[in-house]
Amino acid sequence: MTISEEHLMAYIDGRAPPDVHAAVAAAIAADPSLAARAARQKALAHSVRAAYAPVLDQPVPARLTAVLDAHSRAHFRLGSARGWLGAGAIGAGLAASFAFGLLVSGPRAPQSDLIADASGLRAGAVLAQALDQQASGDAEDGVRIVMTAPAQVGGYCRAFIAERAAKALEGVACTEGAAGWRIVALQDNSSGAPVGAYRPAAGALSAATLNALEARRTGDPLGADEEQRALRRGLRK
Amino acid sequence: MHAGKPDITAELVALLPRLRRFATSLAGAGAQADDLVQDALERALRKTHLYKPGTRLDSWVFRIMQNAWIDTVRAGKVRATSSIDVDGFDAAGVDGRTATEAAVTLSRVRAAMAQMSPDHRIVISLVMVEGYSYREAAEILGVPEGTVTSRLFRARTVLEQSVFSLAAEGGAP
Repeated sequence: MTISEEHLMAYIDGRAPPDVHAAVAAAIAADPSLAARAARQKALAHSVRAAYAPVLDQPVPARLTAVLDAHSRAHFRLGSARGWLGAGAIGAGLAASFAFGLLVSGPRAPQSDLIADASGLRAGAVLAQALDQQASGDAEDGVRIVMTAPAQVGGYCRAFIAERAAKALEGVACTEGAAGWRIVALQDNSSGAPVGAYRPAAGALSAATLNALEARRTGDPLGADEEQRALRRGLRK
Repeated sequence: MHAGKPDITAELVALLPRLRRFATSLAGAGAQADDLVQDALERALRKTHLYKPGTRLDSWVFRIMQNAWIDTVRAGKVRATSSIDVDGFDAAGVDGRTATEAAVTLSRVRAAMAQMSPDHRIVISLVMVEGYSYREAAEILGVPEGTVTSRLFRARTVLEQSVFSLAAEGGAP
């Protein structure tokens, strides 16, 4: 078999069929000048790959993630959460929250994320502050707000992810007048990406959480500008 | 699933580093690469209904990106032989004397790539940087596999001469 330049190229690229591969390998072993050409080609292939490898480790500019984030929010607006995500990801719901003993505590521990009272769960001080102040997409103190939608009696519901140590919860909190934030849905989110890592708005949440927001929202999720105005006015009234 | 609108944003997020690498090999480092990624993302999101779930999303977006870049080059918005921002790279992961030698070689490769024709640059990038098979590259480019191998062979010859002649002159770009 005569070794053509195309055969040599396919061999270097690891794309040669077995018979061609064997023939090229044998020819290289027998012909020092072919071996030298092969070595040069291999070095070139290595250098080309290495020349662009560092890009993979560079941080992705925010303007690129913003394109996807905007799309993800608009997408959520188009259909029901259930229809969009499919039925596969429905979680165990509120009951699951009590597996997170570290996050939940009684009313005497205001620094907790969640406070259990007679009527259910309220946001503790740290979570409430995030719900009051953070824009969607921002992550602070281990809390990321994912999106905000208008709810009944002029209030708002916000989907959030809270991360403590290796555990993470996602849920929906709705204003109850000026009093605080009522937790209306809570789910394990420990398998998700870290809170600090970028995730698209709706893709970070389970179907159960999106359904809970879907059930309570009275309008489309707020865009970034609308949300800024609402945050300045104060979500709780 | 919402009819005809698969949500691909989460998968696109995961692809961003590779999209930036592909864009960098085509358009050079820095803002011009990210402009290209942004252009490709926006095109992909507008055409989501054309993406067939279950097929490879990366090939689909790479195809969109190479089309976007060709459009940009043809429109004269950027010069096909763009200058390469060598300082935009670092030689992370290598150390000591090797790092210097490697950095020189790698900057030669990038300089040589910047001088190549768009078609050559794309095929080198798809096969030698991104690791696609000749058949996958042919599907991304919408050309027969034989066209890929002949184009790749010519491109590689040009690249080899360029890189090794720069080396022989001892000239870093």
